[in-house]
Amino acid sequence: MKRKQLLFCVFIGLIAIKNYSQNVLNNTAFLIPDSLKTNANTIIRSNITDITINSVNSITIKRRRVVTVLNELGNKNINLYQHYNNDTEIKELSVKIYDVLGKEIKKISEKKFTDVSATDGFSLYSDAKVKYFDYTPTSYPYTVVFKSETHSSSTGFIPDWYPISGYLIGVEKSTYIVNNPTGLEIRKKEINFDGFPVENLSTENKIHYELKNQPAKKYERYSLPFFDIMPNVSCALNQFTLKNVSGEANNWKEFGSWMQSKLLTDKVVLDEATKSEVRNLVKDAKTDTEKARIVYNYMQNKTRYISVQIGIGGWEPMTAKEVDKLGYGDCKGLSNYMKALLLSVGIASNYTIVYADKRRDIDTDFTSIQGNHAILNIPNNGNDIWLECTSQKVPFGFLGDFTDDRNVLVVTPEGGVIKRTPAYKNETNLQTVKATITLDDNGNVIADVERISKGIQYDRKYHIESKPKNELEKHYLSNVWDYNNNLKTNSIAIDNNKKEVVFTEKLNVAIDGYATINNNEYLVRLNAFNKFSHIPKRYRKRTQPVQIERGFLDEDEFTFKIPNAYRIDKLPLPKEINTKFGSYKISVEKIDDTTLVYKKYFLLKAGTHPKQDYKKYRSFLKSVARYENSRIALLKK
Amino acid sequence: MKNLILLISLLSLPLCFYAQKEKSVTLNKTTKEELQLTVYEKDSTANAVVLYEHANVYVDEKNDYNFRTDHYKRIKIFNNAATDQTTVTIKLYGKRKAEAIKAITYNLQGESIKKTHLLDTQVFENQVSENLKEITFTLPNTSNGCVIEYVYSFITPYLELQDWYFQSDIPKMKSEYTSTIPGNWRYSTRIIGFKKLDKQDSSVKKGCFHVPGVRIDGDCLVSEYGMNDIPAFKEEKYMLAKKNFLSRLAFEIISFTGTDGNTKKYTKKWKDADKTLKNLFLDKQTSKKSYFKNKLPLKLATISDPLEKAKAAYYHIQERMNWNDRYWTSKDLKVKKAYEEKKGSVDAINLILYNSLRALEIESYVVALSTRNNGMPTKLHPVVDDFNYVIVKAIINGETFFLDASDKFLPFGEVPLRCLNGDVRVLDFKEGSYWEAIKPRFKTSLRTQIQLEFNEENQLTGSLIVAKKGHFALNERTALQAKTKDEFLDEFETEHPNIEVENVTTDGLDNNDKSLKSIYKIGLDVTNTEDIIRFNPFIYERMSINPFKLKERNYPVDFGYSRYTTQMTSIKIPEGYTVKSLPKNTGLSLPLKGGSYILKVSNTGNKINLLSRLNITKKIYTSEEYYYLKEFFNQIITSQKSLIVLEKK
Repeated sequence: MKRKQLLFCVFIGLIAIKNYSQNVLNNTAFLIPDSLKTNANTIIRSNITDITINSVNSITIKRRRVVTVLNELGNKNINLYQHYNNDTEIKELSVKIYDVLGKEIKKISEKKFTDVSATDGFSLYSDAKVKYFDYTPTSYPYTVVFKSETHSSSTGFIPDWYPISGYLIGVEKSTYIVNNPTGLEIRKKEINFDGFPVENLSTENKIHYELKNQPAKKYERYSLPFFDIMPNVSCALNQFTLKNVSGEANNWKEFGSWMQSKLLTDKVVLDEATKSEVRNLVKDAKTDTEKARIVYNYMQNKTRYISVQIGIGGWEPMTAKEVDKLGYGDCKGLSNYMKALLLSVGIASNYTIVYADKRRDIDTDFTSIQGNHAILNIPNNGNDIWLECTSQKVPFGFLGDFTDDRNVLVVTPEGGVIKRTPAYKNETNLQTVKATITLDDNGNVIADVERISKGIQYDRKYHIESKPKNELEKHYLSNVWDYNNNLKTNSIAIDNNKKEVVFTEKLNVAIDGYATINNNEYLVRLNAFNKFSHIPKRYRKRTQPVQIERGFLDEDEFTFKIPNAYRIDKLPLPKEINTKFGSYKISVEKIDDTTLVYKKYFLLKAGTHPKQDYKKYRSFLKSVARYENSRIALLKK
Repeated sequence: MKNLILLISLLSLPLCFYAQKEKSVTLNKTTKEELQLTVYEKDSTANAVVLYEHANVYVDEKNDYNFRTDHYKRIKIFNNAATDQTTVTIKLYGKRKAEAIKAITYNLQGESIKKTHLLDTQVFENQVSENLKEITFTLPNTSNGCVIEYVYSFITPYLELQDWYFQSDIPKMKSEYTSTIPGNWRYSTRIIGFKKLDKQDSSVKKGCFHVPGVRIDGDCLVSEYGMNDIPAFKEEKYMLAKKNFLSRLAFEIISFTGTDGNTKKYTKKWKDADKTLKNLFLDKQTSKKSYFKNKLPLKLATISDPLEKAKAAYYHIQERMNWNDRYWTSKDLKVKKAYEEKKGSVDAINLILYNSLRALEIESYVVALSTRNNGMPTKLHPVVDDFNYVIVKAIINGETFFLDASDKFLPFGEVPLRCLNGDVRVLDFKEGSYWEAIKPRFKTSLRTQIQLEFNEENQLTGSLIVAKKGHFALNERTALQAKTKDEFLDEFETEHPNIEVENVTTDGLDNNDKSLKSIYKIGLDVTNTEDIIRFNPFIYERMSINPFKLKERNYPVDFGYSRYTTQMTSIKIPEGYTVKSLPKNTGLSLPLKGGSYILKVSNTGNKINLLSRLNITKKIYTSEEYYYLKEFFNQIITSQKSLIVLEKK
């Protein structure tokens, strides 16, 4: 699917730092138990993350990791790199490589690592740096021993523990230690321990966990997000330092107050000229919502997304004044700018932290630095309005699948509050297709098609609005209706109703050779313009529950005008399937001797089902895909 | 490409240049008319248009007499879909640098023009890799309708004149190029692309520099090129590198005469080019025969049949060496070290092969080529920079073989698709180099045999045997390496949603010389209502989507290699049923023997037999042939859409 125009903005450091590990006595690959090798491309032999919190502004992180790569697919898991930046210094960094017999074949010192900017792919600039070593293996299996030690003055992030760092990785042993010799107040949280061989060996002033002999997990489609399945321990200090800014937070309320006072304060000042320009724009608006809508539109036209991350700038927004002057900013800067603009017309709003893209909640009962994106919340007397500020196209108050249906941290004047963003589910995501289809004696089609989309179905389409005409034609030919060969578009009209969040496409199209003519029979595929053909992968053994994330409803009504030389014979029988995953109904009705109407109703419901249901889910969609190919046979008069 | 190591360091005496900077275009050139533009007349779909751009190339005496290019660009932004134009990235490999970056955004505010300058603090430098730096900046305060303008200077210490691209993915109103090159430099210029130059002048400028202490001043060659109204370049499917088609200027240094009167030739004749390639690009690593004589497994030398000996050597190196995903070594090339470490870039691996074959007394040559995505090398005169890849040519019993040992799945004598890019240059260091056409050695084919019958529930079951050869086999071997068997099956079933695979066995996976054969036991859902069974018999690799959808095409279709597919299907009719209708026999062919398709359907006794055969005989189809090709595919799709209909007696 096409990636949307929305962008993350990161708070650097949140990029989950993988935990690594420790010396084994023997680096040969022979000693790995077979049970760990099943489905594995990589075996984490030993992985130690040994953290020492020396003080509120001093943390030492030692990583010792021994990884055996069994085959080419495992190379991506050796991760021979170490991030650093202005306040994080690398004290030690080395790699040794061993062959299958445990013989050392290469030794790489810190000098031999390549030192580059840690570009995240969407920032113009970031002061983060990384040292990496690019290893080309010569035979399999091989073992790498990675060692690093870093020291940082930022204690805001204590690396998490994800002993299982990905799919198809077996773990012999993973260890997580947080030494807290000075007894600072530290909180920790365990997640998803059920069914995993995790041991808590913690003592006073030392957090200590181990996971041993965990066979590799396989990824399965339609399963819950990785973070919701895999075991994890997170730690956070009540008092911490972040890029030389000190912080204190025992709960979200305090955390919000800290953000407000240290990172957000004095950021919402604007020039009088801008203020009066905005006030002038809203002077005739009657309600706050109407005003906010106008201001949002102003902000969208004036700015664009550009990310620059320097120092505390990874967490702190650019001032509203600067965004106003430059006409760009990242998610933090743009959200804060919008907040300032709203303030100038007397509307209060709150800066909000969220995990964008793949659904992930801000943890309600564990306070720490979280999230990777910022949006804006307008309390609006209890009827929250949510604004995505990095897109120049998204409608007012619409979040789409980028930040929908998840817990977010709203920074209010009274401190932090966890709220949930709106969900787009089932019938909300409605698409209706209506078409009048005229068939001629040679099997050709001329049709008027109207497609109306709402909710997430809107979200998937509105970006095409800005495509030039030739691109748009290509879009219908190659993406939307690629199953209709010889399709030509005669006219395309698009209406993006941003206010109602409704996307309407009206087309006149021709399809040559649509029907198949065999002797006296004229075969027509009934579903001409909304064919669902996705069948989920078959799993010989499903291990994970099935999740249908948002669901949707499709309603189609196609009116066929049949060609002169043919007559309607038998009508196909109506089909109906009702399951707990959704319902599917199709029917064909004869209106008169030359007119048929085909109707389809397809509801797929959001929900999570036990793993045993996967087969049924697949068979439901398989039946749907089969019925989507239903045909009617017309006979020669 | 290999990092150029040719630094300009030949000035034995200082020179004094009369400033050439006055030809550089400076900022503040926009007008209110430009700001008022709402659409580009010649291309109303354009989100942005380059109003004017210019490059001025000259020798910069303040920068060690390096070549300096002053760039100027002014772009009209119509709407925010052109945001990517407002962020500029300058890639700097090696010791190249950029300086004097300045930029302005112009917005119309009522009747007046508002200027916003880029600040120096808004220019960022990222170290992307050891050898690559990127300078990035974004224009401040842009809006729909604004004009952006920027200048920067590019300075290179290498012996090179950068190509000048007139054409890009947005249209341009005017693009111009000026160079002032001292007469002691000689270089050649080529114009590439379909569009003609609108401006082309060259003149000799007397006394553009002088050598202190010498009375007579030196002359310069001043060249000016320009194009107007350049359309945006649109990429299409099955196209070679767009570099082949973009309108541009390409330069190549021929020679340099120093102040001491000595002339140093770079590239002029192939004889010189061969020498350059041998010494610099191949780092003199073409004469390590004796080393490999000692290092190669002893048994190789004992094989008497030369072909078997060459094969054994090839497979030994292919197995031993591991490719690091690079074409050229960025640092010194050392074949001995690479052989010891069992890994290296393409040039290292293939030079090991070359040296080894020679050590075994097999006639071999180093071959330089340009990969498909690197563009076609010019044949007008030697341009060493055009080449980015090295393979080996061996002549055994009078037969020619092209060899690339960097890919683990190539059979002896085959080269990967990336090498199939027209002619290659065979470097015969004794007799001189020459062009030679390179063609796939083995035919690429897919043969399928399908046997199906109905079970008690009237569902189809049976076997599917797929045999792949040539590039089809190569592609599958490569894909299989990156997948577990489960993933492979999952993907197969996703691509063929009607088929359920009970099991699969694959044969020939460990021998690249063999064809790759997979035998599937399958079950298959068919629509089966009341008294009629309807199903499509093209269950595997059915052509259902035409890759060619556009009305016309401006560039040739390039498949890389010809291909041949045949499918034999046999279906047993269940008892109690008769055939109501069958797909029609079909025969199609492309003009000029470009290809053919046949479908033969027969019904004998209780068997239905289908034979379909598709032959794409050429690798390249011209834009004139495009229409036929598109229609050819359409007809095949129609033919493969037809159903078998069985009826209860």
